Amino acid sequence: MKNQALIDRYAEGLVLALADDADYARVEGELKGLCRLFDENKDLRRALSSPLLATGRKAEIVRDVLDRLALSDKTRRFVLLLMEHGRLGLLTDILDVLPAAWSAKQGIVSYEVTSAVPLDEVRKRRLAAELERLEGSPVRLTFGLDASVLGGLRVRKGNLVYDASIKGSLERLREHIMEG
Amino acid sequence: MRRVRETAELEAERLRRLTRQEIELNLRGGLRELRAFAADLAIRSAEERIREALTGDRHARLIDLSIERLGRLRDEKPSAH
Repeated sequence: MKNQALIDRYAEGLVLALADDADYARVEGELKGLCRLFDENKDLRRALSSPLLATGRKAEIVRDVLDRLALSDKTRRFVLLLMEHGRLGLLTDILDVLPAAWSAKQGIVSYEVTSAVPLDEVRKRRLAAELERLEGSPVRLTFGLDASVLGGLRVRKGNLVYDASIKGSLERLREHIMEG
Repeated sequence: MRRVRETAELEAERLRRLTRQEIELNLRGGLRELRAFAADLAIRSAEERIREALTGDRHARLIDLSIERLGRLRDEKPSAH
């Protein structure tokens, strides 16, 4: 099971070390590149996840990879920290929440919006305005499609979900029936 | 002899109580299963009907209603995931 709190903590820690958008873009790009490398290189992945290989040896391998890629100091330090803590496997998950963590550092609240059909620009703006009014700060929305919500919207902020979808209403109805 | 009869009666009462408890337990479990089945059937049927009835205009209206509802978020309890 994913430890979301831990993933969020690493992402928040990383963005605290980043100075500006350019710094963020560089580190995020480098980490994505590293993830791709791990994904594409089966031997490397196997070696790093092998219980037979000592942690020290794994760290040496990672250091060697980092040296060859000539990554920035911040990226390097972050990856080595994950390695030392035995959390390198969280890198992909950390990258998933990194944009939201970066936005949060800048006082922007991130929402994931899910709907069954795409929202037009007018409705996207209305939704953003409504959420900004509620938050009292700028919001960043990412939009996704999922036919299973049937209709309406489901919005997620971190681990909080506000379900205003038809599917959500039906699930509440199901609970009601179950409770008798 | 009286002692034997008393013991037998006590044992019979114990068995009756256990049987009653088991029947009640089974009945409650059965009702729970039946309720889950009925809920599942009702929800699936509703989903199908709604899906069939949803046109572009209705989708847009539902999204508008959701935005209005989200505007009242402070009064609602979000669910944690």
